[in-house]
Amino acid sequence: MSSKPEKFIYSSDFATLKNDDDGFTTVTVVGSAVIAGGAVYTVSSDLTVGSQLGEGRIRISSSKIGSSTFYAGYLGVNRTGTESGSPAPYTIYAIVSRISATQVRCLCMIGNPYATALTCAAGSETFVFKINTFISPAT
Amino acid sequence: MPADVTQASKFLFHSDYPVDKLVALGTLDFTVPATTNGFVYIPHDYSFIPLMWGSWALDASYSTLYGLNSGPVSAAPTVSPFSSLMKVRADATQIILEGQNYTGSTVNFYARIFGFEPTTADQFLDGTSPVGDGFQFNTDYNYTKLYLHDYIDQAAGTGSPVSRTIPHGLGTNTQIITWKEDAGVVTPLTIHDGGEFQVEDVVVSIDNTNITFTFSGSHPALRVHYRCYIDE
Repeated sequence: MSSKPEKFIYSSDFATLKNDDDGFTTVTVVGSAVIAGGAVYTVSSDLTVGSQLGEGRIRISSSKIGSSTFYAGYLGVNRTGTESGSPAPYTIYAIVSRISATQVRCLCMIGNPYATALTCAAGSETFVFKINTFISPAT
Repeated sequence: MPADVTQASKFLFHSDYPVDKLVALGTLDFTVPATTNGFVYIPHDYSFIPLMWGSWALDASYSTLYGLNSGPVSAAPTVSPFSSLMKVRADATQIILEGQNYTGSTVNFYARIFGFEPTTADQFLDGTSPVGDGFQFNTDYNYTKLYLHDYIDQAAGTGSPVSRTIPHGLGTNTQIITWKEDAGVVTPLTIHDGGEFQVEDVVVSIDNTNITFTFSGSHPALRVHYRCYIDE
């Protein structure tokens, strides 16, 4: 049976994908948050989206990154805070992880790599997580 | 009459836009010991490198399905934000699954994978429809509607980041999936990490006008495959 790529609008010989659900949530990293030495700061929001077997397409944007939205299951952005009075770089990780069949956890995580307290950058930063789910066929 | 892209996303099926065609499809499970990475190699005989995607779970019922480069969140991230995760990629002869286990215990990975043809492919293929000769279109579902699909080539970086844009003309932030092809290996793009865990060669972003590919500047020569959908 022949099959030319993409010249068919629809072919019943091939499995396809189905849109399932969509949703969004926001998570705000507080400006000037203080994180103890070696500690991890997390803030999160849980979102009910998708059915079991729903796979996610994830878009993440930030209030400090402009109008673009990143296609990424996790986003790591560099910021500069202070540690012992001196400029100290660190990374905010905005990540998505499923916690149940129909719920995802969208969280922002900052690990303090320094031995003493890290004061994060001034100004809160809000991350928007938009999640579409789709269903791949049974196998 | 030209297709009306502002209305197309409201249809379950639209005859102006192709429905996704999956040319590879399968499930498998494998075990990875504590604090190590494990690999599964699946031979294929396509004349092209398939654009693979997938998901995984910790149990055979797929109770909680994690995406690529995702998994349970680590309580004490050191190497990764996740305690375990799965990656998939493909080359000219095999599909490769990689399970990364950062826990102190064995992790069982139950994977679901599927793949597309790149736009450069032209091969007769066996069907993958789970219903054989049966008609599988169901008006209960909203099928994905492909709008743009192609690739771009970017020469190796010379130090400064480089951005390339593809206008999509949809007027909205829409769904896309992308892969990078590097020295004969095609890998889904699911990470944008400017931090300490990992630096990616290319990241993908979108706004109401353009799809943007931003190359790090220290990247090798790359081909980036993309599929953009009407579906928001």
